[in-house]
Amino acid sequence: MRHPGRLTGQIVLNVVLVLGGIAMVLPILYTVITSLEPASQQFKLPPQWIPRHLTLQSYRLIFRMIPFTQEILNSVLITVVVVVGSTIVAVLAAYAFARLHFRGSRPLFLIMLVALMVPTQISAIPEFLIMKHLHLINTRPALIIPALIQVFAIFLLRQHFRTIPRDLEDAARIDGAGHRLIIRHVILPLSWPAITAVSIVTGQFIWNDFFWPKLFLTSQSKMVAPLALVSFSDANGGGALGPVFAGVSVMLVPILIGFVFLQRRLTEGVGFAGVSR
Amino acid sequence: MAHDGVLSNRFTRRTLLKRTGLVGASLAGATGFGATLVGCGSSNSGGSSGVKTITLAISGTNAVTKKNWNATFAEFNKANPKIKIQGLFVNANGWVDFFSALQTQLAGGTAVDAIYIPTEGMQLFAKRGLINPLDDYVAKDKAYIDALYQDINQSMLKGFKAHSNPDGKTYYVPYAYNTTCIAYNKKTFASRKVDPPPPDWTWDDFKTVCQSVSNKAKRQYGFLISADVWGGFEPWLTTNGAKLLNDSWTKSAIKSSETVEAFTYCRGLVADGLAPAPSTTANGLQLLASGSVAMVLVGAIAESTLAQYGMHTSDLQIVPWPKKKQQGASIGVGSIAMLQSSKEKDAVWTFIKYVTAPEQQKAGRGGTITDGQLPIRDSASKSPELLKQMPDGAEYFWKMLPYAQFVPGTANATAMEGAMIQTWSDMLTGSISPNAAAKQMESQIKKNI
Amino acid sequence: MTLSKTRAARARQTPLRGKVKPGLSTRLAGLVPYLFISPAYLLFTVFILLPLLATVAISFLNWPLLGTPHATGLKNYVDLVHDSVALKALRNTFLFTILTAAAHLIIALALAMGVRASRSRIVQYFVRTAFVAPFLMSGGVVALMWGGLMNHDFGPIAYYLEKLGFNPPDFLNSKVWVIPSLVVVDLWQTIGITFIFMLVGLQSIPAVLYEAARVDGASAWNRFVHVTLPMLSPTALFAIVISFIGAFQTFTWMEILTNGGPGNSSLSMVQYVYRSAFQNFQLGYGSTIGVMTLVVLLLFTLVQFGISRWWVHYERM
Repeated sequence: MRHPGRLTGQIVLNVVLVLGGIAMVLPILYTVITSLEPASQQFKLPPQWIPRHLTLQSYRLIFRMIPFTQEILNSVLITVVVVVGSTIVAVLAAYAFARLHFRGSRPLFLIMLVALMVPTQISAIPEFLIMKHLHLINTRPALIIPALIQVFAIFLLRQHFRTIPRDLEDAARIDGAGHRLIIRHVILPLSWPAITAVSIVTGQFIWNDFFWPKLFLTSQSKMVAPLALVSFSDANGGGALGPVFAGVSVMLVPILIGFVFLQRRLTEGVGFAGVSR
Repeated sequence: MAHDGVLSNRFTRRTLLKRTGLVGASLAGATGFGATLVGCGSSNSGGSSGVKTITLAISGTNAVTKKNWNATFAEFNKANPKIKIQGLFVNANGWVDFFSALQTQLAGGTAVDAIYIPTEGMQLFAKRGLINPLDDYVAKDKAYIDALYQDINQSMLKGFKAHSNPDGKTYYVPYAYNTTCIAYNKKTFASRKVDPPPPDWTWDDFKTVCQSVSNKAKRQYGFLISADVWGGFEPWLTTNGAKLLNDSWTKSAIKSSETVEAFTYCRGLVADGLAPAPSTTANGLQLLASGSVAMVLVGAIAESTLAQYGMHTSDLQIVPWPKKKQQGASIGVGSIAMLQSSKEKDAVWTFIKYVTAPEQQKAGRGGTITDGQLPIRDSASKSPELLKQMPDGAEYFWKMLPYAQFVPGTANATAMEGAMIQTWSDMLTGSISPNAAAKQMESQIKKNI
Repeated sequence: MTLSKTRAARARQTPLRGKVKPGLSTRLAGLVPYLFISPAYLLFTVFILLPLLATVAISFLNWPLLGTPHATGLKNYVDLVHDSVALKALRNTFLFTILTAAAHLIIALALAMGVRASRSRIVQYFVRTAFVAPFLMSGGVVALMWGGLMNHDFGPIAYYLEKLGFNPPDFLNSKVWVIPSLVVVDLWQTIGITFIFMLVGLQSIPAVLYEAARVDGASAWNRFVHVTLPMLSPTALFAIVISFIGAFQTFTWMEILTNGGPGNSSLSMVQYVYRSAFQNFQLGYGSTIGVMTLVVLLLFTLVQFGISRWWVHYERM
């Protein structure tokens, strides 16, 4: 740090890092800028990084052409329900696998782990038949119910629960606490970073998913936003990309805002998951 | 036909489906979709009041498509208070996706009474036993059907009858059609000092126009070649006297020197920088609007669609496909099909008759005009009121009918087209020779016919 | 959802009831763990395990989507052996997966070390935000965006490359470049999460180890090889496994950006299963492809873990 070589090194390093960061941000910037340009100016080369005219025309179009509000709400609803539900399921199972001794616990856990490696999409066909029998084709529960089991979440939480010192639990137990109290007063308070991380990863996974909605949803009132935009871009008059980019921007803004607040948690929680194996 | 003649390629969908627009911006209003959210779900026929409800599956989910169809349903309900129609607006990327989404829904038990189906899917659905033959109804309403058939271009009707009714039964009654033509941006032509081409222009004229508007360094091109069959290579074959299939659709007819010549010509356009490479991510109207290409393939197209791109019908001029040996185009026909599984077949028939009636056709009901098709009746598609909703030159859509070839819609059309589009793209980008491409396509047809 | 909630509620109450009647409590207490895992296991069985087994069963059938199934024995498997498209899909998926996992590992590690070494908090914050933000976007949307960016004739990437004097290939239309291009899109979206894993992994390496190495006169390179890498290897394995799982399931990029083309050069396994079953309407054959994917994946995972024994350093367990 003190000698000049170090200083140059720092400058070079920081410049490289910032350039990398800018490269990551440019596509998003391009999208947002394009969505704000009038249709006649969009996609001209060279791109206008500082547009001369700004208009909300594309935004009006996307909301007029497809029920985008409804579709975003569907996405949010599905994501929230799955995150909450699957985390509850995962906490319970992870608690048992991490803290309780019972016959078969190891093989039961291992079977789950093996399944973690397998992309569930390859069993899309039976999955479809199951949903058919449950009369859930073209309904939101078709996306929600199977997603309530997140093996990855169980795995991460189990790893985390195992790191919580047993003494705390024993102390609570001596005080007469049952599992419910132990989970609530010992396990959960010490696990918020991990639970947050798991929720974010699960949430991202659901929000991000394209395959299952494509398989199960057709009617528009149940449609999720990303799939709706993709369909719009293709089917609706080759959907002008301007309105599509407006839709992308609309979906992006809440995420970016949320991210500014969540960054710490995400880093702590997810990072922690990574090292705790 | 119709929106995109193309089965699995995105390009077409992009290029053609754009007709999605509203019939007029005025129609669209800002409130387009509110009421239609209710419109999806399975049909529950019967009902206490004796009102029958039928569900019609339609490709496309945007506000304009839904608004037009829902308006049609409402009009219909006024005329037939005992029948209510629900639209099942299917979110799909092009026809292949529509067919698979629909079959998936049917397999999943969704009750559907009728489907809006284009030529590409007619045999696919009929040969799988999903469509209820209409022979009894046609016999019962013979006078009506005869009058309808008389009001349809005869060569199109002949082709339709031959191709859409695979085993001698009548599965479909035509409702709308779509022909391939070319649209150019008048401003682009004017600014680059290109004279409007005559309607009987040739491939050579076309190339000359491309040369005078293209500027590779500025990323300006003459024509966007679609990566699909209907609007991609079929018109080039037709205008050179070549064909994909024999007349009875039992054999490949693609391997010919005319095909190779057409392919070589198209590859030349790309190689010489007169046309961009085929792409799943380019959007024809977008490129037309920004002047990046001067000409694109179009089917029926309305102001509302163009508005998305900041264009107006007055900005475009429609011209026939340039000819080599002869005039040509490709064509697809759309139809409201009655499903075998429907419990309300009579009600479906009532609706089929309703939307093919002269007044409704002239009013541009359902998906005509805005969703890229013209009403099937001559009396409607030639009417000045309808034509003036589209750019100048829209009359070529019907004027080209006598020269048009049907887009293939065999029982395995989806698989066949998917493979052929791939080959077409590979040929255009130069990874296989025109000759090899024709050979490959022949084997793809053989495999799937 | 309701199901799991009621079960969970029951599970929570059981031990308390147990307290009241000590005689029953031991026996009930033995059941408690099963109650805890039952919602998870019920869902797991119905939606993961059974469908997997059913996939194997269906692979022996000829089953048109809207028709009735017939047993065909090994016919689907025989067809599969002769199906060059399946082979191509397998190759594409592996190529994509391996490139993705390797790139994740190298780039994320370099980035994490860079951010650790930077002394500017602002730069650290900016880089973390910039790299992780795309992870929170939806894949379909990311694909649409990159479709516009990567268009050969009208997208800005090719335009700028050309301005810089390169002669860029048509990324999404080239048999050679299509997979690497999709890897770039995938990396853009998902590199952030691996980066965070690595960053925290680095942070958790005790500083003492570096001090000791420095005292011993180890060079920066030696410290990297003998301290950083071994201490980071469990994190790295974890990160590889995660990116591997993600990459192997890839569907969105191919479906939206390339439609599997050119010439099936980017068709992925999952996409092929989907197409066979829901576009060509052959449930049986689709399942057969699924089974093949499964077998290949299991083999590959075994190998991966076998190798990891050799390079992963588990001191901190």
